[in-house]
Amino acid sequence: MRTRTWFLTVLMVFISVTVFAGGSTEAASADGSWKPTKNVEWVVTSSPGGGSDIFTRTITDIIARDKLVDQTIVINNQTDGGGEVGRLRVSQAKGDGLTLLTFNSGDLVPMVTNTPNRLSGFRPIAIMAVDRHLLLQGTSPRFASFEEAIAEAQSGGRVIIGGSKGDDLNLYSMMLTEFGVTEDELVYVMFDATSDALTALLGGHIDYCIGKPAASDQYIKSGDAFPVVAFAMERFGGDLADVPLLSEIGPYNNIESPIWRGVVTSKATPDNIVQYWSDILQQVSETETWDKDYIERNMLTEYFLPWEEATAYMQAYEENVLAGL
Amino acid sequence: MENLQMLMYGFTVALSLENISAAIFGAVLGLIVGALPGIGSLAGVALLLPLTYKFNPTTAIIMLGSLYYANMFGGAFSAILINIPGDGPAVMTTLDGFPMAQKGRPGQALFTSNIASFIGGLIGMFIVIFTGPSLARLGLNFGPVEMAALLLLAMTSIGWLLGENPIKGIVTTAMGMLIATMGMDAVRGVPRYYFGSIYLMGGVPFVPLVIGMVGFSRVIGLMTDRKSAPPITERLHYRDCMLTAHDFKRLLMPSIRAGLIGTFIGILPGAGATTAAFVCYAFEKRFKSEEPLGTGAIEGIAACESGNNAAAAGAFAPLLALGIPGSGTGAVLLGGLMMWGLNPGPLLFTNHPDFAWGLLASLFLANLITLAISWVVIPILVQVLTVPIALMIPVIMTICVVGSYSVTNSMYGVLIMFIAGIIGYIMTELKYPTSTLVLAVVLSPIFETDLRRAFLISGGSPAIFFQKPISCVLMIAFFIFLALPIIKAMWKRMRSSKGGV
Amino acid sequence: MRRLAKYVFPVCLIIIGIVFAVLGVFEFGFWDEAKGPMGGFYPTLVSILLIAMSIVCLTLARDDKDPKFPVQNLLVILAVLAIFCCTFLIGMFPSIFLCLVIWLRKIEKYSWRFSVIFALVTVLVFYGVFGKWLAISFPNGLLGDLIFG
Repeated sequence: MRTRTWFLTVLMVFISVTVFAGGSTEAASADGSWKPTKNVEWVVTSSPGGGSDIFTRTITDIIARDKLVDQTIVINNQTDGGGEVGRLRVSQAKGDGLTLLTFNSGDLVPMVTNTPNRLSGFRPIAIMAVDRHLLLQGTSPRFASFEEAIAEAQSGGRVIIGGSKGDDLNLYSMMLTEFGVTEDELVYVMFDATSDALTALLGGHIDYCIGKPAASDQYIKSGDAFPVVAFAMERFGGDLADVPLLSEIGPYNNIESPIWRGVVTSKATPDNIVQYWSDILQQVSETETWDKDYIERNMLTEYFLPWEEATAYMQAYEENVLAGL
Repeated sequence: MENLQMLMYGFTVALSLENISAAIFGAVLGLIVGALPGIGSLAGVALLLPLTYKFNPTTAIIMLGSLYYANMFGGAFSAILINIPGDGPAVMTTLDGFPMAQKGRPGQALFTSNIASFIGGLIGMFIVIFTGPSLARLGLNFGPVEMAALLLLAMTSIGWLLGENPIKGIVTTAMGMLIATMGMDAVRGVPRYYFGSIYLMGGVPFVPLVIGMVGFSRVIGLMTDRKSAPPITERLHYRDCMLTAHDFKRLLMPSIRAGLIGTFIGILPGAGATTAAFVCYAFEKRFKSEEPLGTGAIEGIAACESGNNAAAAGAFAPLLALGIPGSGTGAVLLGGLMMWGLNPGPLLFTNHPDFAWGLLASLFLANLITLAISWVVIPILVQVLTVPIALMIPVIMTICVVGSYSVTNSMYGVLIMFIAGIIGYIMTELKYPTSTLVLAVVLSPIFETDLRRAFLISGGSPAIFFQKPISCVLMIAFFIFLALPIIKAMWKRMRSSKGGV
Repeated sequence: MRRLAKYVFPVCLIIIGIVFAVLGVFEFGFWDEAKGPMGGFYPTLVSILLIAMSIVCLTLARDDKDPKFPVQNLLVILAVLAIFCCTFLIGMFPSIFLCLVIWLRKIEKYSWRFSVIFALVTVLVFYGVFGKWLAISFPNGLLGDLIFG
């Protein structure tokens, strides 16, 4: 009896010591767990108040509130070089798990188009949100339907589509391939942000506008814009359930250029540290606050990809973009 | 007058103790942040956004709106006192504000800017309240084609600022236009003129450029003046800062004019407070003023300050009525509003009338509160100018460094400020104007981008500028403006030859 | 040297204009039939304007007053350059502090006590307003990173 108690006590002590000791060093300990022991820098390549910034701050607020990480996470807005400087710096940073970067599809497109930097320069940690595009038309459109517009473009006419920079461009190049038209037949007018493109649509200056469900919702409800196509593999839900897919309006394949928001870190980071952050972010994505403050507000569906799937997803996306260049 | 009723209702929402305190708090913060060189309204609003999370939605929105608004007031303070504009719109204020302060009337300069800001904001708010949604829809009619035509017209008025040496003015305008082309080509999405530098791929950041070219270059030049007496030598009493009745009369008409023009510019997509300040200032040059504009004229300060506040108010029309942010700061505000579950847009006034009208009412209050606060603060601020110049130089120098760092969060901003300052100093010594360069940096990219978008839409054909009604009118006005000096000269010659015969 | 500045400046502008114009025409495309102005169109036209006006300035420069460029003004430039370089070593706030102290003492001849106190107060105000309140992180320099990690 006493031997067993003695044995159990030793076992308990051993387990507690391991658990407490495992978190106190930076290097991987016996059970592979790692925790940051200094401030964490989270780089955001857009200015405060922008989409990426709000995304990041929502996450860090949840982490702080729920005390998921012991250390402080400091957000660093680095917009130099259109964000390329920040991205390059993080990709080359030490693999100590103390530098994170918010990285979206809208960041990847200009990065691979304009710099030699590639996804392989990073270790993806997670994808926390995915959105898809839809196509909107205004209140006095030139064409009775989008099929008519495509036909016009295919026979050498001009159709004007507006959108923002970044990931909308990728969708546009997919459209060109799918419809078999040139840039001068299906013309893309690039605006700084989707809201500017929407403004042009509302004013009747362009024929169609590429937008996202959240941004377009209120204009659809107020009758200022009409969704004509959903660029996805399956129909949207909710109020947008009636919007047809590309394959439903003509002899085309469904095309989509998903807009994803993710988090990455430097190339030198080892697997166990990547796993740590991936787990933390998974916990964030499962909180109710994340659901309410981010997912619902942006009319998204819950979505989380941990690091291995996120890597594969981003790689597939990058290949698609590079093929279109 | 349903709008008036709704506004009154809005006031009842806004006038609760909590909301008034929030408005005051927001106004104070906004004033301070607006006055800090470098940080400007965009980053200031964004950084202060988290402070509003603690409060309930209506109060938070009121604080946010008040903050945004007071920012416009604050920008003039550092412009007038130390010639470093707090943000883009304040650049124009330095042209007359700083000389006026240096002539020994800093208090009057600050008061002029504040009262003009108040008048401009008031006019803007009235117009927005009573015509908001329709005004916003009017703005929608200005697409790329119309904006390009409008800016073409505006670019010709840079001529008014050219000063004594028009040739040098054109040179610096062209310099500014070229600087603006460096970086991302907004129409193609690929970088231009970056000469292999990853930093330059994002272009030359505007605020550090301005701090350097306007502020730092002046500090460099100050070294030779440092033995001379500071602009004011004894403590100024409150009444030494006050405007005379005559001063007030001088600022009234320019403020009203600029208020109307500024509001209109505020609703246009792409054009913001800086554009408004410039256009109103340039427009004011056509009117008589007691002193020439650029030497410390009250009319100059009044025009641009009223214009920029009116534009800030005007920008609320498309923001609230259509959910379209007119500027970067507007986008942050939009984000803030959306975080509170308010989606500005066509349905805002229908779905959340208490919010929307409460916000508008509180902006009126913010206008008043900011004016009141600045009245208290100005006589204190003015004492800054009693500090010996020798002491001011190192302080302003370091403010330039810290300010330009804070806006880009990197030493790149400091480097740009440094280079711009040296170039600006050389330019000033060689009598090349720097204000035209700065203005070209603001207006030129909007012009070029919209011009190219217009051609994309028309398929390479310039005829579109005459096919669309608004643009056609603007183009005709442009040609008339161009032809005017020639016609005048010909007219003169005809009359003198008749007289001579 | 200083006298030549009024000639050198327009010449520099002409060179810059030529560079921009050449790049504009050959690198970025001038005009497309269907798309209209390409990336090089606007900059090239502006460069031509710049070159033309700079040539005019050059020819008229003889009548311009000679600029003075007093040596003391160089001090300001050197001081900021020093702050810039030292920031990478010891961080921005320490650099500013040192610069202020040295400036006030050596150039304006204030006492050590005054210089140090003034510099300290100024840096503390910067730190309080920009560093703490607006939560902007300033560089710590190599030394700072070593100490604070």
